[in-house]
Amino acid sequence: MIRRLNISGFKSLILENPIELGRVNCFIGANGVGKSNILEALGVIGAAANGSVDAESLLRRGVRAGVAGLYKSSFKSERSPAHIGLEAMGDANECYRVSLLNPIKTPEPAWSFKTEYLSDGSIDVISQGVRGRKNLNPKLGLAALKLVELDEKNAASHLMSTLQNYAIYTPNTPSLRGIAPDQQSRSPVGLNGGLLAEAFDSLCKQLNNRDDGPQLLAQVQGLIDWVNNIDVTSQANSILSPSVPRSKHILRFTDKYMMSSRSELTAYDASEGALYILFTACLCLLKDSPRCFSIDNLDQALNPRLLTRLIKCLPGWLLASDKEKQLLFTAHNPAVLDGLDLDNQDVRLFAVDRNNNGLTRVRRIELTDGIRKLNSQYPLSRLWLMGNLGAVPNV
Amino acid sequence: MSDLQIALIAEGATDYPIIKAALDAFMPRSFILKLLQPEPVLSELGGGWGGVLKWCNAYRELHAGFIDEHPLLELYDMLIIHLDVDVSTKRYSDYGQQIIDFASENNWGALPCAQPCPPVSDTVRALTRVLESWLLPMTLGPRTVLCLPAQSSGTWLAVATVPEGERMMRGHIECDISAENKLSGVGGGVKKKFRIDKSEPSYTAHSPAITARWAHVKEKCSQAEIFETDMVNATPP
Repeated sequence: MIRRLNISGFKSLILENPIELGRVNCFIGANGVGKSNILEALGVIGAAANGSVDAESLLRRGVRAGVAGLYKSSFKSERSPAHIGLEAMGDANECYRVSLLNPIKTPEPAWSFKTEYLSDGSIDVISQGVRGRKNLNPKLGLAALKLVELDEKNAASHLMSTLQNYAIYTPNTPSLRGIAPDQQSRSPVGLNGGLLAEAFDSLCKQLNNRDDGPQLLAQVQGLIDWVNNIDVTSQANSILSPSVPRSKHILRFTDKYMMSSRSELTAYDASEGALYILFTACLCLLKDSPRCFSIDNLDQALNPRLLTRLIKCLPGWLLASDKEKQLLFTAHNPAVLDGLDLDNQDVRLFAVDRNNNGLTRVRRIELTDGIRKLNSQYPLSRLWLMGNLGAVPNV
Repeated sequence: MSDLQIALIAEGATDYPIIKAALDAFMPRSFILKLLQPEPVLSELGGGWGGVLKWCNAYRELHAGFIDEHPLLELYDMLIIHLDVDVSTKRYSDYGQQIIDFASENNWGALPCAQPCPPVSDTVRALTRVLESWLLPMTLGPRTVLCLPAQSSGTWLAVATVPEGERMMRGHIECDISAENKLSGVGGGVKKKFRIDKSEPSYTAHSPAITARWAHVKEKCSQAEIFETDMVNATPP
């Protein structure tokens, strides 16, 4: 699992201290403070771990492609950094660190690797200072190439594959409904929510093969209180208008309140909240979803009480899928906070603000005695709204 | 060194950029300034100074002693309470009979409390006593600073942006209760090109002048000087 993330010179992020991550990581803050930049920084380091940082490799991970002038920090109060510095560290102190260059005045399509360091916690796999060897292509990462020499079980190899497969998911309703193409289709589910039916089908099959599967599936379905059953079908002629574009597999919801002969709905007609729930459940529970992933605005389209329940499910779902599975997400709905069990060290809440010079600052909100005392009187959602946790706009 | 977390209780949205610009001029450390707000419950007290009063009233019900040690301020290093000195001319009746009764029940200091000006310091002392009465049983602690611009935060902006020769700048600017209105063009006293309408975007856009001309603002406004001294003294090492 990625335990520490350090970012220097990427967009609004010149961090004073690394972000100490857990299994479930919730980032809250005003619009525009840099929450998504944190998720994107991890995407950039993922692209670097895969060997190249260019528009294609970034978009594939859900990172907004941008010109060098926008990627590099640019603050009136700070010296412009020459490079973007990124570092990810795992449980066994395995570490991948990279600095990336791209000239602002004459930007190139791909970023150059300035320095690169990979360690499995005890042995340096790659320890490259500023690249001097002219026979090396500066646009290609050496650490990615070096992986072929490492055992898959090596901690450095494990960290690199986690980073390589990392992606930022930004679901949208048309993609979830299957009526708009996903901008970044990938298995098991697209970055915008495409192929949700296929993903849910895989999830049902996966859960049917484990002892606690029915219980987990019931937990997912229990969050959608108007359904009797959810399954996947390829026969949807009777429940979906022929004018609606469709894929091979279609989600089918059975409404518990409707007459049995006319109680079936597809994702096209179902409540969008149900689709966002299934999307999150698939990503958390499916074995072939990325070991580390982000969901930007996880809270969209969900009723506050439902959202609190969903958030409570996340640590268990991730753990049930893989003991290494890890989620970062941003949210704006205060009800998210009431679902976070901050007594669980796996669950972390980060308040994101900008300081007086505009730099993004990330602060972990821990359950100190003081916060615990507060929380006994006020739910965290209320404390957030009142401004007592920070992470609010000054409006 | 990590950023100072500073909580701010202020009368309105236009006060935030003024106070931040002042802090930018002299704070020894970078900081995160957060505007706290009372919860939006139905109340006769709206925004403005009534909002500050509402906040004080909500917080005093939960804590006695130094306000710095209020559990709701656990995550903050410092607290600034802002109140324009022109509140000294207001009345509890501005917010209705319920607030008059409340003031009486809670022994809030009497309003209006304005004293002859100059000097502005007599009024500031009287207003401070009123504000302290709103906080009881809480008291001001070593990490709490009062920001009491005279007669309002708009005066600091006016001093930073309007040239000395303009009519509104003559006399004791800290005693001019209409300085902020004049800055927005009400009642004359300032040429059109120097006018700044009282809105959050407009104050924000012009606030860097306060940072840039803070020494001049302090020279003309004793309350700016006091605010800086109090803030620097209260800043944790």
